Amino acid sequence: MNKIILAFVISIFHYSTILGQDIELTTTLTFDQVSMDDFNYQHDADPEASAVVLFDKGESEFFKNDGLNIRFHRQKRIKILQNAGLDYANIEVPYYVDGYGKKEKIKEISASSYTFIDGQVKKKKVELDEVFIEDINSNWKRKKFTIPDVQVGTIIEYEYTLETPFLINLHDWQFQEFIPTLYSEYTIQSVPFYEYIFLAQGIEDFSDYRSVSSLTAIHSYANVSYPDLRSTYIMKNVPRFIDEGYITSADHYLMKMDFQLAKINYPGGTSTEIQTTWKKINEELSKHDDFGKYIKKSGATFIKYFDNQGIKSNSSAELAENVINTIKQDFNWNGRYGKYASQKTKNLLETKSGNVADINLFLVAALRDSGIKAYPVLVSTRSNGRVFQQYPFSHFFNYVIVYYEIEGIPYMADATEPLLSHYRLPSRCINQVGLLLKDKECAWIDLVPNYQSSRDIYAQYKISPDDRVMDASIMYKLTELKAYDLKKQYKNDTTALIEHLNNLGVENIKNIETFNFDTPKKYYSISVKSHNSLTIAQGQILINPFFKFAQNSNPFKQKERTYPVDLTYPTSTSFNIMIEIPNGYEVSEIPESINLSNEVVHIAYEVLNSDNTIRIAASYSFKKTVYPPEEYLPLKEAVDKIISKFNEYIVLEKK
Amino acid sequence: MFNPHFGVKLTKQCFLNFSKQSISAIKIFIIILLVGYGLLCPYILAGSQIVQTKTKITIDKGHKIIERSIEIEITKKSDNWMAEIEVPFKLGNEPRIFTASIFDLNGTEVRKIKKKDITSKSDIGSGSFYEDEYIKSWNMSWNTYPYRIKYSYSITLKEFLYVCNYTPYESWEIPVDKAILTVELPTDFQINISTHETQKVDSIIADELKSYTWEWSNLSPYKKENYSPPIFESAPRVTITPLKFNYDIKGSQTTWEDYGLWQHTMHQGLDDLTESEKKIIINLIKGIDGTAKKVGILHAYMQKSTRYIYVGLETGGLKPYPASYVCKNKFGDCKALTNYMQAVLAYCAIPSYQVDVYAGKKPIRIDPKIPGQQFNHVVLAVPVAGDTLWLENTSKYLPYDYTGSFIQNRRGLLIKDSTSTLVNIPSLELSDVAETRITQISKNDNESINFKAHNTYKGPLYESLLYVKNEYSEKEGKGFIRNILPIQNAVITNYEIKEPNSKKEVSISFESEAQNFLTKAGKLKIIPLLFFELLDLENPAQRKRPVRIIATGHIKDTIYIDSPDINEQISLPETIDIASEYGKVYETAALHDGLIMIPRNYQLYANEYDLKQYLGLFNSTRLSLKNENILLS
Repeated sequence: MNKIILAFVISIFHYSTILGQDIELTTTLTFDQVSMDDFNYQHDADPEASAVVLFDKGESEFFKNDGLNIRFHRQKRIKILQNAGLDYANIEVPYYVDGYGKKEKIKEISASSYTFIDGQVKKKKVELDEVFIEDINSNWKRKKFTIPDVQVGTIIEYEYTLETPFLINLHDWQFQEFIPTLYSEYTIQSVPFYEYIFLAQGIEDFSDYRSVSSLTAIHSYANVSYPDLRSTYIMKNVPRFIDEGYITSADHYLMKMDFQLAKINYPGGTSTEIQTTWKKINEELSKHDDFGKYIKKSGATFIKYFDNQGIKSNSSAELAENVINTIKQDFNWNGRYGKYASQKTKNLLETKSGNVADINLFLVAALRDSGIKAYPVLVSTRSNGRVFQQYPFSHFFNYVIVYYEIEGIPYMADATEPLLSHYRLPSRCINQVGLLLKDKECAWIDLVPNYQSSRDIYAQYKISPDDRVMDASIMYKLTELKAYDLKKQYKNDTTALIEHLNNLGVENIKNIETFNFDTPKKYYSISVKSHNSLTIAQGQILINPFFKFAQNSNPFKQKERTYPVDLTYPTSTSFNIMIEIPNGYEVSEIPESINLSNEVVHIAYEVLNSDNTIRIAASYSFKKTVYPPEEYLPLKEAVDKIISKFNEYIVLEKK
Repeated sequence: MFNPHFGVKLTKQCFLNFSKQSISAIKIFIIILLVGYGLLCPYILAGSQIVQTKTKITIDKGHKIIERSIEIEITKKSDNWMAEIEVPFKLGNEPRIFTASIFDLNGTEVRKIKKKDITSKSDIGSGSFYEDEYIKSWNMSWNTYPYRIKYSYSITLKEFLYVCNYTPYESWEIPVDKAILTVELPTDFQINISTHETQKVDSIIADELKSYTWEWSNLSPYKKENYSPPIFESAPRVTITPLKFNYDIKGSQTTWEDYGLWQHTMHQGLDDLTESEKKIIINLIKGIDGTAKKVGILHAYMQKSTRYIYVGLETGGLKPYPASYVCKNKFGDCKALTNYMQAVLAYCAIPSYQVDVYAGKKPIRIDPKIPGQQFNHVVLAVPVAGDTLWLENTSKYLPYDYTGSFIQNRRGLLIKDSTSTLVNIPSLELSDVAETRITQISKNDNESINFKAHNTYKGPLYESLLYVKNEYSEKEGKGFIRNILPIQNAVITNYEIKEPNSKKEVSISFESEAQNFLTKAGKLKIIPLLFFELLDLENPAQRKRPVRIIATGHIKDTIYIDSPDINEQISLPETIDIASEYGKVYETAALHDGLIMIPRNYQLYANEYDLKQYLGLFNSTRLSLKNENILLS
């Protein structure tokens, strides 16, 4: 008989959550046995918590149903502490339908509320006809129900069973939520046929772990008998997750276990390694119908396609640019992510629309057929969570981009975004590293841009003190991802852009022109002429030379920080300002020139006053995109410094 | 792309000051969705347009058959969202898609949409827990520009309150070259018609059929304008309602009395409180004298024990769940909770009336000429000692004797058997909305600024702050308060929200420190006066539509500045004291015992201002935008 294995990997990460103070567990861990201890319980450790998970227990076990399937059973008890926690009584359980006859099933839903009123416990159950099914899309549905008679102080409890024929979907388990959890337990039954490995994120140590093998409970499948072996992982007193802002996503830090099918052991004694190395994942993908084979088939289709398009170019760089831009123009991204193609290339060419993989894998083929080395790169988007390079899990990835080389120089492309330059990635892809899948090898490549995305403001001011106005000619120039963000937000709509500039303090805009909206390789600029009211106080003219283009609000308001600050991509801001001093006036006060550079930020501010003209050349940029928690305070201070320096006034007075 | 007109869904509204889902969905076809379009669709640039829409509505054997064909020209890639077609429908009324094809510049069909390209999914609004609403969707984008898409479909409805509530726009931001509406009715099918800005009408009346046709051409898009009436009110439209209908039960909307009677009749028997609930209710008011007091106690009980949940099934959009449903589940939507509250009051011998209302801060005005379903919310009117209490039943926090900003100053339909009538829900007056703010600003040695403030809020901010107080974490609360303060970069060190008993106001005391509030100008230091604005209006040159101020505004504000840098030579901003048809602006500054004192008072009157008045209104609001500064040397 095959050996029973449940392999696992526990990883300790830098930002693991510190468990809360040890609270004595008073709740019974038995479903349907709510006690007075539950009603009396107050979560003093965190008075802001809107609700508390008294317990959350899950168990995954295998059962026979036309082969082995997995049954996941969950029981959860929550106490509502504040009105804001009432939404925890609205339950949604998603399940998967593959569209080819196989589907997950939600069964045995039971849910109740318990409210202690007038010395009595009032119990209310959810009726079966009040469980609804929502069709999210063609592959995902969810059952949803809301628990009746819930108010502050109510205990809610629910359980359900999810049966799945998809053995790769051993249910993951999240120990941490946005409310505190007193007790969380996950039990997994092991069988000799399937081996899973798991990754524990944010967990230094489980509060408890036990493995129980029953010699009396013997299971049998495919003429193989095996004992009942169950492993249980327990966490106690898990504090709620607090989103501090400027994090990649909460999913990067939540305490959880992610499972992955690693090996299938067949009753006959043979076995198949599912995924054990990145190299094997690469091999697997290269043979996959919706990945490697899709690229091959796309190549054949592409030749015909491009014959019709007739792309010409003078160099391989230009050829790559043309190929990428043609695909960007020709195909419409349907907004869906994915690392696998969702349709055949023939269909993509017919519909001109597809998901990320449809379009970018087609681009790989198109570049290859144009004689350019090109490979797919697997990516986990920022919202999808982090990739752990030491653990070969393909489920880390939810996106695919394109790597290509021109004369040995590597570039990356994403053909879903026509507003971006052909060799740039949108910020959703900027998440640590991507897995480059070459023919027989794979490698990690850094996704964080090594270029600055800048905002450059060029302006000339002419002051008319008698009219109390300052006429300004401003050119607002943006590059790279800063340009892309603005283009995507305002779509070159001048009315919306005027409103945007109004919010930056530029008043009464008379003329507005934009440049290079459809030429993403170049900068994007907005040129305006405006007629601004002049601030005169005590007979002195006050000029804020940068309007509100410079940082004027510090987003970092906390005193300290637990998680790193992630600014996504490197940015810089610069100003070139020329102010004509009106006749009869002279400079009374002018900001000092400074040049400051440290590990966090670079600030330069140079001001010249000559020939009745004030000239300012100023800039600031952040040195990193990710600042660890220990650099939070220097970063916060640096932002304060920028705000202070870049909001200083120039004062003119009468001679 | 957008939702075609028919079977389009109600835009859910969400008000911070209620529970999250506050405004319920009285779900009907057509009318309200049209209003939502402008908000949902991104603005598109010139070029792409609706080439033609043909809409035919036939009433046949009591069924309404809607047949539509739409042709759209798309001129650039960034307008491809217009080729994302969605047809909403309710379970049981699945649309039939007849044709859907893409044509290139030469008019050659380059792609035909197949059945497998069309998908269906649930369409549950953001404020709803569940609805049996669905969407059929498909993508018709192409890669050479311009291209045209043409599609046609039909939907048959068995129950309806409108023959149509039609506007030729598919989305307010998309120009329309041509639109045709044809309505065919049996000659004995009686209707009420209201039109606005229609261009052409043909009507043919034959023996068994009467037919009406309207056409529009060269319609320009609408742009969003702040404080404008809803676009739907000024857009071309045709509204036709059947005088007799069958929706759950037979009814009539010949007059408002008839329509109210239908609702009243449909509500019969829905006041079935459970016996256990009756016992609780009796105990609650035992020994209590005075109707208002009883109402307050019962309303508070409902707020504590129930929560807002919208589940819309079948006719659930218009017919409330019975009181027993709320007794059992302790949740419901606005109709269910209002029906329950009415049953509770009735059990205590307190008469009350349901009042249908178009809730929200930018409501569509009720058209009195077309009696029928023009509402999205329901509240309860309780006559008490010559006055009326307007009970909001979805909020867990608003007092029973408070008329919220989301229902004030508009008409509603009071349901009272055969004497239902349109009523005016009173406006919040200046004294109901006055914010009083007292701010002390002092400079620290390290050049940072300390703020101590005691602000009292009424009206809309009172409603929001009640929600913040009860639903937000401390961090979220600080974030909210920071956003309503006219101070940037303030770190709120502590705050307290108090709700004085029996007053419709909330007070906030807070202390904060701002590092960069004091701006340097060489040796000078500049204290910008705390800035705020009552109205944010566009430049008059760009304004196309009138202004409608639905809620009065009133801010009384006093700032005290204490700094060692203050001396007798300091010059202060000039006094402004202006009263106009729009409101009042008063600002002054004075030096007292080394303190600068700046009292300010702003009033804005609720009213509608046409384009001729716009410049005056705009200029008067700019008076408060002077952004004066105090210089310290």
